[in-house]
Amino acid sequence: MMYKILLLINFILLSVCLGFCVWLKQTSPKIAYVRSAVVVDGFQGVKEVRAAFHQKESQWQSEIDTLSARLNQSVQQYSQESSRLSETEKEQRKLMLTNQQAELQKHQSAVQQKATEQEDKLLQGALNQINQYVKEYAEQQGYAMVLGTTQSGNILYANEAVDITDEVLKGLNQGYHSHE
Amino acid sequence: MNKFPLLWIAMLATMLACKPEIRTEAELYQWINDPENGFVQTRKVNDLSITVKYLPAAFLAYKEGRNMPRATQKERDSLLNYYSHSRTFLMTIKPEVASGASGDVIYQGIGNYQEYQQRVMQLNFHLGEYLSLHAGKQLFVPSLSTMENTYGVTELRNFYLVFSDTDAHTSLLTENELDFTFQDEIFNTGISHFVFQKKKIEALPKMTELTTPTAL
Repeated sequence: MMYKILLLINFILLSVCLGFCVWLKQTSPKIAYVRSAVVVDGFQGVKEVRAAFHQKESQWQSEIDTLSARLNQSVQQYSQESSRLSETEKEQRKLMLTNQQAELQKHQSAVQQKATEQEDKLLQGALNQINQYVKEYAEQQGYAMVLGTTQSGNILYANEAVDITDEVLKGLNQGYHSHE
Repeated sequence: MNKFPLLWIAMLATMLACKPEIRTEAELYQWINDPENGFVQTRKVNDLSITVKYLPAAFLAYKEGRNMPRATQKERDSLLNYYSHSRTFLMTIKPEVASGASGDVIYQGIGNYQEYQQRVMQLNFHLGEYLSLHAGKQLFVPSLSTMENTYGVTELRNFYLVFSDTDAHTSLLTENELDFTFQDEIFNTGISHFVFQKKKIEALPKMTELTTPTAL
């Protein structure tokens, strides 16, 4: 009889311990981390933004090259003809060349500014796509927090078991060219 | 033994008889709006949802034909033929979370009047520069891009986009995949691809006499 009571008490204690462990696992927040640089560099959306930007950049560069070649041609022409020109004509041509050079510099800096703005906008868009996906992924998988590691970040160590970089990157790229 | 071929024929006839058919306008909208049928795709980025819906030629011809009650069958066929040479899409951008005082998507991320002015200009006159349709190796830009004016009644914005080509055998009509690409420099949502399968978008069931008008 005593043996049966002890067995019952053991069984109850074991059940309570097991229940407590399950409760602890379910209530403790799930935390994971992603290696931000790997996600950003591996994301198809970022690669496409960079490719689109480089294409635009080379178009702008060819415009600048054309203007620059035109300026060089004018300078060469001036140096060839300068011996035959009067002082007044020389002054006029010099002024024209200076203006042309100033225009080129102005155009160059405007293009650079435009390029930076456009790249920032497109890149920010791609980063927003990553953030959106991480949010959806975390909600689906029940993560309370997803941390991102950066070179200047605060995470000094994290176990590889909570590294979800590969899963996030895979899902992100699969959803990028949505077929449904 | 001899009954088996007859059984097969009977089954085939039953299957053919069960082929879906659209009888009412509500059924037509339901079919187009069901993501399973491949006419509509949505992406959510930066608190915005971007939905691109393919509008089939039969639907466009039907909608226009509705205003021509006296049109003959020949005229209706001609209308269908006209729309069959292009691809039309409806892009809807709506806020997922209300922004600012009004919640109107046009004000999303806008800080001052100059930015607002620039956005209105971009959406009304330059949206086509950010959109393209890839069909195989060919790239098409919209031949028509129109923003529907809502006069502040809704928080979303609708854009009608038409891609067309004069060549009847162009990849626009023959390619198996149509990749509608939005390179967004307006709302900061990055580059979004909406890939439509020809097999699916051409599987619109036959439309018989439609009734009961409803809104899209």
